[in-house]
Amino acid sequence: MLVGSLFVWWYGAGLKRRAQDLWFGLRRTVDLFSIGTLIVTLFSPFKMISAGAAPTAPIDVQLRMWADRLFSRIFGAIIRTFVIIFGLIIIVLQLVMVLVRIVFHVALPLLPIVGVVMFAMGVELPWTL
Amino acid sequence: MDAVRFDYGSERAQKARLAAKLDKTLRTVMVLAGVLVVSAGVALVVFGYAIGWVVMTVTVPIYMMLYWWKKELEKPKVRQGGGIDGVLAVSVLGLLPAEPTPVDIALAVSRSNSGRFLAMRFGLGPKFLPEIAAMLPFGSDVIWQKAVEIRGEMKGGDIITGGILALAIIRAIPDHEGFLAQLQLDYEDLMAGVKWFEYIYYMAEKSKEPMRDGGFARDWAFGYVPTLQYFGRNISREISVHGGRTMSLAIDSHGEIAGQMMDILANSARKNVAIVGPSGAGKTSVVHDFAEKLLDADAKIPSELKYRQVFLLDSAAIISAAPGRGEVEALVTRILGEAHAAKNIIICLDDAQLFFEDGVGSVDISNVLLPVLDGGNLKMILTMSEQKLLEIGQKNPQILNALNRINIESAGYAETLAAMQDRVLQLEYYNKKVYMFQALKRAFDLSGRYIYDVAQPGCAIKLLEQAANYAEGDVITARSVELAIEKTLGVKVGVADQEAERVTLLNLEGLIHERMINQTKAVKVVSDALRRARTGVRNQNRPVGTFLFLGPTGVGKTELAKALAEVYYGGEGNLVRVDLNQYVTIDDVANLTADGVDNPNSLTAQMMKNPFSVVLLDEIEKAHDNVLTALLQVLDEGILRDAKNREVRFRDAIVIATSNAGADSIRKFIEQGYDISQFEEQIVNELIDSRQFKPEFLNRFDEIVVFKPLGKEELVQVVDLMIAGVNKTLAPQKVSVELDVYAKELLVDAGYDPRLGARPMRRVVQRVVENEVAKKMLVGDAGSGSTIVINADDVRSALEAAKNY
Repeated sequence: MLVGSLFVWWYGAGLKRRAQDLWFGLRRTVDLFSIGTLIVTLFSPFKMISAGAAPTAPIDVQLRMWADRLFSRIFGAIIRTFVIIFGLIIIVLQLVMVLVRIVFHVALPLLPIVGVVMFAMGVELPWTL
Repeated sequence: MDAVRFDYGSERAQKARLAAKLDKTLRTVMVLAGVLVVSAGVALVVFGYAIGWVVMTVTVPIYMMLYWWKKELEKPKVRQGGGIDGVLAVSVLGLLPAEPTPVDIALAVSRSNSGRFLAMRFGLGPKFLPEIAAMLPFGSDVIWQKAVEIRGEMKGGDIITGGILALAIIRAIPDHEGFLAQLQLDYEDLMAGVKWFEYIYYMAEKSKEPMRDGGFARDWAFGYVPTLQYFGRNISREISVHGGRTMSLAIDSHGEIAGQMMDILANSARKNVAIVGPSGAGKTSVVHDFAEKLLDADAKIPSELKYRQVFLLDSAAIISAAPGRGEVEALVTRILGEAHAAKNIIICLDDAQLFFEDGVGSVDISNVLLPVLDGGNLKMILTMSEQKLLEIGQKNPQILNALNRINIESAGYAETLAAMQDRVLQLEYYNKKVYMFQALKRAFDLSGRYIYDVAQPGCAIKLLEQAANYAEGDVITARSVELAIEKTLGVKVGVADQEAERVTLLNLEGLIHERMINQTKAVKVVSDALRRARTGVRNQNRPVGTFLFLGPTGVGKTELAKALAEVYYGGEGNLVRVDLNQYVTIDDVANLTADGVDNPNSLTAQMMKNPFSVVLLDEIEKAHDNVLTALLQVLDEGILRDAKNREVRFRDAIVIATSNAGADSIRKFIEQGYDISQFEEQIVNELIDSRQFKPEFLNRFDEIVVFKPLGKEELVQVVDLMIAGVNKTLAPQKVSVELDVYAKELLVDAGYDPRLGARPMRRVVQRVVENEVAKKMLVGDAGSGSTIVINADDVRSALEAAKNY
């Protein structure tokens, strides 16, 4: 009976649990790369360089500050874009791994049959010692 | 379906039994076996044996079984609506036989984590539960039923843990409260222990999920704060680095305050919060909790506050870096400007008074801070005590108006217990010692009574930290906590349980009479009061005893107070004496309750230092009426508020007031040959009628004891006591003194004064006996090992010589 329970669980709650764990891992990666924040603040000045300029400052100072901020925004956008792209690559790779692991989960109980078939067929590695 | 039916064959029960079989050892063996089998399979395939494919796949069931155990068997889902097996904790369920008896249940509970936790925290042996379960006159149904009831009462979950079953077994005992009282526990304590285990379990599960805190690019859109980083402590960063889940939100009210802070800092026009409360109430902890909450991506937080960093500003570092007044202000302006420009900073001024007053380690920069607080451009948190806030407000009312105030109160028992349970886990980790539940309870009780100036829960936690130095083995017990108080404050708090102390209590009268002659009734009432106190049979909200000793001078009133201090409290040093003839004006009330810093000899200051003492209020009839009114609360509730409004406790003290009032009446009754004890009421009435004391004052005393003047026979005994004192002094020189009967009578005749009682006797003994001994020792008549005998002639000649001085 317990063997039956194991299989029922494996393809029911167990599969759901596996997917859930993988989903949490994916969420953690998204959080680690701050993807949402990076998208929202894509054109914000990077680390707020010269953000503290007083509105009453002389025009030349204000112009310099504006130029600094513009540079900061461009620099920030480049850095953020790279991080977003890198993060997305990692996330996509992780997504692929998630799918592979789910497929593996589904296929795992069938592996002994595969093993027996391979033995019966006398499958060998292309190289042996 | 019957909720208390136990179905041994249910799927959940079978899974639980399988989980129990898959213990740690078996799981380790399975992992090792799996690794070996895979290795063998790979090796076979590599060497050209196709059977290796089959061998490798043998690990599949092993892996599946381990994964099943980890994700399902260890914690199978609760199945409501079925029998009790649907909600029992798997650690118990897996150990139960087909038809479990109460003993089987108790044995399973004792082996479960929660059962072991209870046994360890309450000092119950492993056989405790099985033994009491064996005595129960009914079957398992009653225990299941009670467990379901308890689960319902406790709320917070569906699973019936081992702890709940332990409670059910104990509750099934007909007189369980009486039974627990023998173990100095009550049912509520055990319930708190079960909740403690469930809380730890919940937090351990929660800590397995890593906190999402926004990732590494979270702060890229915010500014640099190099100056602030130098002069402040980024507690948000500390939380990120050292991990969140500090568990300090166990105190519900702290959680509420963190919520209020969030509301004010996000929505109020003036974006500041002043957390006002006594030291130890948890102001800084609330700030930490708040900072932690802001970093939690999963928490519901206004976007304006999400991922904001909380910096604690270091006043000492600022002052040392900028010693001049203008420099400090310039530096603080720069720091605050930086924080404002960064846009993700919340500045916290912990002990904010340091920034609003000039002094050592503090500087008044209110002119810089006020516009910031008032403008609301920079989010700020201030913490300070009520007293300091009032002082700041008095000096600068605008600051008071600019602040959004949140009060934090001293925690009650339940909240303090929760805070202690949190903190204890960290203390245990650092000290490698285990705290028993009784230690926590005792820490709350004793810290509230003896530690001043620190509120709960800080006060109890401080005591628990100290108790680690007095652990019994690796366990910190209630006694460890008592020892911490006794060693640090010199206060005796343990219940009489040692044989020597028990003997002292039983023979108190005899011990007091070793230095007191007669006054049997006074000695008895005081001894009875002490016995009641030390065995716990007394009102804990009053002093140990309050007595008014009436009688003429020199009859032993003060001597009894001193004797008590010595015999019971361990020395005359534990006598707090207040001569009330120095408190005759209305202004003297202030001296009675002065702060120890201003007057270390005030009654309240002395009691704070020495709460376990005899308080002797001498010559009470001479005190001003207002002084007596102030003392009413001492007699009634055992407390007196000092100049700082701190509650100073007299609940471990014996309060003895002495008075000569009524001495003439007493002497008159004695001279007429009456037994004074029959006229005590009359004497007291005379004192009320003559308005020497108000009836409400006299009614506050436990006993009013009339001391009778000493007769000649008793004075001879007083002489004996004094000679014993002289012999004690001479003991190191191996010389002793003896007086014959006539010599003693002569001394009594010379030393007795009807107005002064036995008081002149000491002077006479000193003149006659001590002088005589000194002379004989100097001329060489008294060597080591000799006994000096003083007869009537010696006394007579010494008295004659004294007259000629």
